[in-house]
Amino acid sequence: MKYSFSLGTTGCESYLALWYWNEMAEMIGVCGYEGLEIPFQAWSFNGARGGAPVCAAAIRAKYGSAANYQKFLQDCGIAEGLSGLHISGQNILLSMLEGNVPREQFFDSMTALAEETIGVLSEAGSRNLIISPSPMFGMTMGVFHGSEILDSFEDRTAETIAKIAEKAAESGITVSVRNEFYGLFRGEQVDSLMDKLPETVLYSPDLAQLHIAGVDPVSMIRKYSGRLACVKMDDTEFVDRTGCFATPLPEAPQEEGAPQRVYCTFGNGDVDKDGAYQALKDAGYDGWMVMETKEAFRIEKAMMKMQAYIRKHFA
Amino acid sequence: MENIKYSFQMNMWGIPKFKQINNLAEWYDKDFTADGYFMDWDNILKYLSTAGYKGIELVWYQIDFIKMVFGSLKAFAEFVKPRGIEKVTGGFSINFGSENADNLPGILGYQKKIIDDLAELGAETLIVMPAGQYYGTGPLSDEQLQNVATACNEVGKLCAEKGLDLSIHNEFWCAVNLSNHEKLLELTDPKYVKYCLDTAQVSIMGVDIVDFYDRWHDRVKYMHLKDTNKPALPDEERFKDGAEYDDEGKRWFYELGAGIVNMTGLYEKMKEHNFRGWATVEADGAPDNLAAMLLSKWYIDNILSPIYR
Repeated sequence: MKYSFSLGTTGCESYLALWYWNEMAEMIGVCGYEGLEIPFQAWSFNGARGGAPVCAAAIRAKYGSAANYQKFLQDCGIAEGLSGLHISGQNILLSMLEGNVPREQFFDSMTALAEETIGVLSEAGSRNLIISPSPMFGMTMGVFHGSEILDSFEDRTAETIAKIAEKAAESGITVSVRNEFYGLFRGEQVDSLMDKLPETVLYSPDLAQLHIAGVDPVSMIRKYSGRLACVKMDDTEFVDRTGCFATPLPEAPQEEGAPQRVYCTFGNGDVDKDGAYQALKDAGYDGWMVMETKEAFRIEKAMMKMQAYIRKHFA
Repeated sequence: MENIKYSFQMNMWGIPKFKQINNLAEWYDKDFTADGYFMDWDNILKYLSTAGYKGIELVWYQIDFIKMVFGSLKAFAEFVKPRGIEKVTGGFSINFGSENADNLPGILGYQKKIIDDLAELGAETLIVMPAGQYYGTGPLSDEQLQNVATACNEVGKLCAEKGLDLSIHNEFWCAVNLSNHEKLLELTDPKYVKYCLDTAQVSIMGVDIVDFYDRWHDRVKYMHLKDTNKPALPDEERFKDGAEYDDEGKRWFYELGAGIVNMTGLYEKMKEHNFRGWATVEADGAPDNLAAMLLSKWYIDNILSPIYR
């Protein structure tokens, strides 16, 4: 297995300078990660102008091309550079809301961002596009309320991803689906979507997201054995006792007196990481393990702590 | 009775996430950091009011999240009061693409939603960057500048319908820049379009703020206060792609008193012209929001207020 660092461990703040992000890449390389996965975004006024490599425009503006960026990452010691780019329905919906784009264009917007991202991956010689197709449940219900889109959301998602996968395949890129505890395809509800997709579209389990959704990540790894890619290794102590997943801001529970911290520093939580590793080994999985402590308080510490965990538990 | 009341721009605190933190231990245990103190607006507003700020200012992308976190804008307006903050004083937004007349309907639709929200919050002004960044847009032709002015006038009318002012706000990296920012003021209708003087942005652009305020004080109804040590930045620095975010991380903005802006001279003029209204302190680019808001307030209380308060 190969270990990648998820840039989601940072807040991906665009206002931080290119210098900061270049140093970050050097630290990722020094820490021994062989790849970098980036939560990739649609164009935005701030994202496109800033130093964080979080959208196509920013990478091309700051590095000239995705190929140059890939070389830069490899020169930093990240042996394989970009392990994958991860796009999400949540980012797509937020971009649409900010730009006053009609809700009917959601799937077109997903296709557009996917094609732009495929272009970046292709230019970089990288092979993995990860898609989290559903925006947050509460936001989806609010935005698409009364629209026929809601009734056909799963079918249209499957149709859109299948087309994206075809396009990606032309560039030798594999598409995988990731599901969050707050989306329409939370937990095992992703199964029905996966059934509608061609076998060439893989599943990218996110351990913490499955755990919060009340599903054993190990069982999901076993279920999708032979169809896995870009496994997200992260951690949580959170238990969604109040149906937080359906609120407008599921990652920031507001209820008085209730636990509020959804993600924790890798290694401090209850996710069965060792069991997941063993299940992956049993399945003969030799792809990417994407290590993340989502929006860590101390990024460098989290970066090293995750490596320490790998050495101690996964060696 | 004070003539100047101080507000704080909330942009550097990010998108509101938590209303209140229930249990600090949840954020401290096993990580040993202070982050838990800075994640909720309950604490942040208390820090602000303790420092003597009476208002807060928002940026457009925070407003929808405020609705989600607090349930409604009305609930948010009520939430701030017992924490010592009188009101939301204003909101910042951008007239993207205003140099092109075809974009006007879209701009009006976009800004109307923000204006309605600000009115519901009880704000007094919409602060508007009049066009996009210089790179890719400037230099503006006379016709394009007129289009920018028309957009300001029309958005200003929407503001007036809701009892708000529109205040033009110059950025050193905006398509409206040193050569035409005063021309834009001339082209806009004083009845609907006021001006928010940003002491650092305008200094970086190459303007003497004391002289500018002296000449335009009738239009200056609002202030953005911050300092800089990089006045009169050359064109090539201001006009490059992504100029606001320097690749090497150079800080453009500093706390009041930490740069070279003639703040005391400005306050002398504000006294002379009897400025009355809100002034927003900003912490753009500061690595520590709490330190920045306290240091700027110290400078106000000890250096500027003795001149004019």
